[in-house]
Amino acid sequence: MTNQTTTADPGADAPPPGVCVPFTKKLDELGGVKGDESLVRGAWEELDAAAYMYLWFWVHR
Amino acid sequence: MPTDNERRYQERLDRYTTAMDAGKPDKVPIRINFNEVAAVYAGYSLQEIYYDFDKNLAAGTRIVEDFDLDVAPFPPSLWWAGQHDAVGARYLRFAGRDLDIDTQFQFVEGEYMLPEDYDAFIADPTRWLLDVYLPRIHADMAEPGSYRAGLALIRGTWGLQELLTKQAQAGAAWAALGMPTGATGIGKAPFDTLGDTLRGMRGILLDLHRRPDKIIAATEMLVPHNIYYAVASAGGDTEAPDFMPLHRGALPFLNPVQWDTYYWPSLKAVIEGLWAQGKRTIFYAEADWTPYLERIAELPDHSIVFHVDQTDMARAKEVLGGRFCLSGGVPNYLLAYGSEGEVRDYVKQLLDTYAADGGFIIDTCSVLQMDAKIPNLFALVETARTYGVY
Repeated sequence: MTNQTTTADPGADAPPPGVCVPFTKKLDELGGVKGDESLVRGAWEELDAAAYMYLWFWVHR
Repeated sequence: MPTDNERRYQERLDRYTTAMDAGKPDKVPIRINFNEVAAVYAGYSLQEIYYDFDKNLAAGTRIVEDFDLDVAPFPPSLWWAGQHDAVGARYLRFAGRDLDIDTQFQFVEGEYMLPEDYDAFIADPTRWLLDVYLPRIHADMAEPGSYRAGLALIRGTWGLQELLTKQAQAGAAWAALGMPTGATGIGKAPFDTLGDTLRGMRGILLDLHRRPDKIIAATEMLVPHNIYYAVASAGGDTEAPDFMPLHRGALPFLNPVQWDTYYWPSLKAVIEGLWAQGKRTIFYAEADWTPYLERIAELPDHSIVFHVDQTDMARAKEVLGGRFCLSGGVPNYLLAYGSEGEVRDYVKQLLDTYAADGGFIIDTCSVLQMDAKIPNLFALVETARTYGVY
């Protein structure tokens, strides 16, 4: 067992349930999209929510 | 024109739902999770049903085909051992790997979350899970960024997807056989989330004295996460109830003040949050919850099915009856050590005493164990079906 720990960042703004990385943050990285933003957002949020469920699966098992 | 199985499906679903609404259906619904006993019945070793998910589900299908239940049981094993081996899980022992081929899985409880992790966990729990928790509980992820860790993440993700796909296929197959699903989604009391897989029992009980403010902050933080997970793991379904196994809230883990302060507020918030979305909860009250029945009665009408293990059922009916469905009632020791006649007599008495007004689902008191006799299970189901007619 590793003993790695982290400390709380008092400035951290944790994403809500179902979100690992908010689309707004991803959009900033992309620098905007040329086409329909909702299509990009929908795909991102679907897979990001799946990542969230994967991580919490190991807690709720 | 519906097929026979479609008609049976609807009859069973109506029966189950009416009882959960505290009403009186045509018959007392029967809900029994056979768990590993299904493997015994189907002739598989436990290693086979832990490692071969197709055999796991095939054993469940045998139960669906041969026992006149009203809702499909869980698969014999909720665990697919290969999925846990794929990431180097430190917390489970499985038949055929660490244990004899017919020994039930063992959970290796530990403090997988350390006291000094509380602040980071509370500040950003999802990030903490990836950065700290998974590397700690999965040996293959002990060195984040390594080839081994990357592969573990890929294997683990693929394994979960495969598990969910096969479970969904089984649910569809059992529905086609005329049996609806008894529960969708998994929920937890926030205190149990901390106490089960994160801090462990020793850790959480020490925290009650050494860092009680952290428990309160963590359980409050967990409320929306647990609501989300319960709904999302059900795929958004609200027809079947959420399954919520309840652990540390049983007598005598906590004293009444601790229960009121640390256990109940966040659990109540989760159940109310689910109910606000139309999702009912199977309040699977393992062990004895008699002292807390009046508090549980604060929940919205019909929002839970209160499952009786060692709780005083007479008191549960007195306090919760009419507003909430009760389930359970058949002791595991009777199924293991009693005769078929004793089981039949017990079931009749149980139905006479607690099911007459409706709002009752017959089930075993606690999670069925390997020592249950198959003839006794047939006696339970047959008696409930023939005697439990309104």
